[in-house]
Amino acid sequence: MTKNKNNIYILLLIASIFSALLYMIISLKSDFSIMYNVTEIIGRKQFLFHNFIINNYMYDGTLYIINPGLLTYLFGNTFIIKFLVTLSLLLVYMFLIYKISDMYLNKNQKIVLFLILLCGISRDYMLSIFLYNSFLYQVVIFLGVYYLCFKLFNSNKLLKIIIFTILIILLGINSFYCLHTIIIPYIILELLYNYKKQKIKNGYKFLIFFITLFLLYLFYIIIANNYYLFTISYKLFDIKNRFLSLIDIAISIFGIGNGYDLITNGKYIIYYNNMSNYSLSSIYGITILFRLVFMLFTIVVMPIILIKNKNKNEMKINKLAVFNFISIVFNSIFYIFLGIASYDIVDIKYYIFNYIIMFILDIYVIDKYLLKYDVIKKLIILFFNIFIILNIITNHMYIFAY
Amino acid sequence: MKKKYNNFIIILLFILGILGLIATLIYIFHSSTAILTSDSVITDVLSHQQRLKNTLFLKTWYYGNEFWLFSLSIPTYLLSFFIKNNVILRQISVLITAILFFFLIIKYCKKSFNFKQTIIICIIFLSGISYSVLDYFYAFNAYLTVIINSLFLIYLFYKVILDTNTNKIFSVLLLIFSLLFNIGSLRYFPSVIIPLIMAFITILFLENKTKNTEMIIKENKKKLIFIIYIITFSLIGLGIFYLLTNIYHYEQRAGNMTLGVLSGKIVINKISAIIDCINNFFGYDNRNNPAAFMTGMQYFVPNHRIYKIFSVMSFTMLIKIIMCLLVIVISPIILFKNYKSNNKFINFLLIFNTYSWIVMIMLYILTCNFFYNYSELKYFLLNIVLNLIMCIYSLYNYVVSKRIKFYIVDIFILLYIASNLYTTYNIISVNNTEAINKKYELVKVLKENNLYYGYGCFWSGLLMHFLSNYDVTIAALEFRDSGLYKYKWYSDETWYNKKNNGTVFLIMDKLDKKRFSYYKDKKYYKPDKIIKCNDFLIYVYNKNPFLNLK
Repeated sequence: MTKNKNNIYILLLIASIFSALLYMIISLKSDFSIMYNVTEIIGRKQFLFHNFIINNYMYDGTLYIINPGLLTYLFGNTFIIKFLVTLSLLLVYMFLIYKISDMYLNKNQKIVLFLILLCGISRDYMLSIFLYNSFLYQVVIFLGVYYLCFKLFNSNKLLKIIIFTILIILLGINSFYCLHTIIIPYIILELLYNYKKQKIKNGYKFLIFFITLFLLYLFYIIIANNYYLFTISYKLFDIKNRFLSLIDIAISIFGIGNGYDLITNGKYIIYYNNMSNYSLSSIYGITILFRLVFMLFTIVVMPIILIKNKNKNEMKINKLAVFNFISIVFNSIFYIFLGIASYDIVDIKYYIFNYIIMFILDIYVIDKYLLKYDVIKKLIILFFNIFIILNIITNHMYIFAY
Repeated sequence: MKKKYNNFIIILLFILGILGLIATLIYIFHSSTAILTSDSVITDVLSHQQRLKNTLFLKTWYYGNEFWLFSLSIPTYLLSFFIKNNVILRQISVLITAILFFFLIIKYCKKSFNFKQTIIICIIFLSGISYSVLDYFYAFNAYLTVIINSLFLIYLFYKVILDTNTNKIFSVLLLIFSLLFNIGSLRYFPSVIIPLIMAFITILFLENKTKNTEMIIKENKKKLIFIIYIITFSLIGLGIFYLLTNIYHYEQRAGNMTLGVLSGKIVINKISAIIDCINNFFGYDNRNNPAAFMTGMQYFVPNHRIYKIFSVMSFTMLIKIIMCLLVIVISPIILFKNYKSNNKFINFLLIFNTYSWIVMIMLYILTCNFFYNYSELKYFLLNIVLNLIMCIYSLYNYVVSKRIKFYIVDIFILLYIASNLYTTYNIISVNNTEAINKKYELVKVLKENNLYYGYGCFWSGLLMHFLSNYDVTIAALEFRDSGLYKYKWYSDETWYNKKNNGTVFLIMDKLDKKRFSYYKDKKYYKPDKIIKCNDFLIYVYNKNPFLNLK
């Protein structure tokens, strides 16, 4: 990338940050979100009952033991406090993404990743990350546990390993979902790659991992027996609906549909009627076309290119892709067959992590395999610039909707 | 030996071709009348109105979906000066469009097929393929003209942009038709123009992979400028189209560009509707019989005919399923795998068609459509026709590498054509004179009772107007729960305001009657006479109670 192009991306990044912050401020000011208040309500109860885990509270699998909502309760549920709490959680989210992407991408590629994550790729993504801090919390836990798992397996100093293990347990006790989304897939991944080499290296790390997993499961079994952790509902006819809602989640994350609104006016999942009259030839319609191309690339084209070039890819990229695949499979098995989530589009919070990994892989694939042709390079750069600008514009349409 | 075998196959093909030709002619000049619906006769009524009012655009006409500028209405309008019987007029016009279609198919084949392959493609189309193809091509017909227009545009584009020796007249024609087709309809821009441009860019890239962009632009400057002209002319056409929709009464229902709400369920439903369309084209399900598709007074009569597993019909269905898989799935894979050894024209069609499929499916999934079921085949007809042409190319260029495979392909193609002929024979035999006479019964009763002006639903209205040689006028009504309303869809505003001094009538079928019975407006309830005709009730009023409807 030349210096000029870099400057354009930095300009776009600044515009995206401003746009995202504006979205956050205006939507937080309108203050009608139940999802925002989940952490605050739990914080209040934690404080009143002097207990991190509350009796008679219907948890949805996430315990919020380390809870940012405690701060909101202690310092007052005002706009400034809400803003600061959400912003600090957001900074942790960005920091973790930076740290994770640093392991796979170079500087310019990281700028592109942050552009995608900040420009507002969809209304539901914006809501999940910049408004509902209970959703953001879930994503941060996943990112944190993944980062720690990676660090643990790549460290050789015992002290570091112990610290990482403790941190994994500390984060892991906050959400049951990180067991099957991160920890189990990570163990399977490492076992797979060690098996390929026909030699299990660092066997003690596996032992630590299995003990950690066992402890966390034990913890959740105790919690499930004494508190309302979640209810598992298993109905055969639901399987089709749950499978279809996986498509809903993809549509929701990439912002293809004509506007589901996650939560508005205290009502859970309603159609966002203001969105349904846009024509395909409007700016919103054109944005959707661009998003559709991006979605098809991410879900269909990118995995094909990665598989076709599996011998040319860097080892760490292959490992990341395999991990993400296992994670999605486990996530979906729990989601479809065990019914521990609510199976509608609020469940995007369980998949945002996987899609972020896919964005990292997207950027890698484009840079390594597609930019070598001059025409394609120019087309991709043009597409990407328009994509980002259109998303920023559409993001303002969401802001004005408040 | 090989020559003798080839001659034998060609003779067999000719025999089947002659049978197909006879079947097609019988269908056009006889059976199709039994299959007509109000939708099928839109262009006929439109050209009749154009001739009556001596104008191309009708001020008082309620247009729907498109203006049908380049359709059956052109030959119908021109021939109406010589032929007075509108049914014969329609049949001759349909024959003319069919000849145009085959002319274009032969033109396409000349680019990359040998004699045998060309006659195979023609005979496949002559054999009728399925009930729906026969209906869309020769009864409904409007969509055959859409295919003809699209094939013409694609051919011109190839000639001008990618062929080596180009006459300037083709360039002028391409620009003129890019403008005119887009004035008449919204469909050509996404299904033809966008995929053409994307196909051109892809081919340009594949031919100049290693060169940098500036060099490619420099070398292909003329072509790129011409592409900009095509886009400009098409956009001007679309602009004029939108202008016309504001000037005239116009409503867009099918192919509406408004974004629809999207969910997993909707995506799956729409994808299964597209698969249904493909089934429908090849006609191998038991829904595909003469009484099932767009017949009867109400739309989409469910009629599943049950066939025995070991019967000729089930054997023909099996052959059609195999052909469907070859056309839609296997042949594109074979052609993509052999991209470097394909003919240039076939590669162009392959890339164009892939883009066209993608654009059409995406548009169909993203936007609000009128409804989604197997009738949506109309949007994908062009793509399946192109797939079929390319399938014959791939079969005879790549599959027949060994002698034994050569025989298998030949025998399969002969069986496929014979299967199509068998289903076409069934369709013709069901839609016989008796079925045609049944269509005319309502018109006959109306004329016998001196009833020439009245009201009814769209599905009886326009068709009866046509079958009565435009003697009987039926203004279309909508039977809503809250009362009767004008149905502003391919009808004329003046039909509602005719201050008829004599008697007027209201035609209702069972469904209309059920709704009608809920209405509280008592003036509708006192007909002076009630006549029954098959499933229809005709209320006769001496004084028109339906004036001033909204």
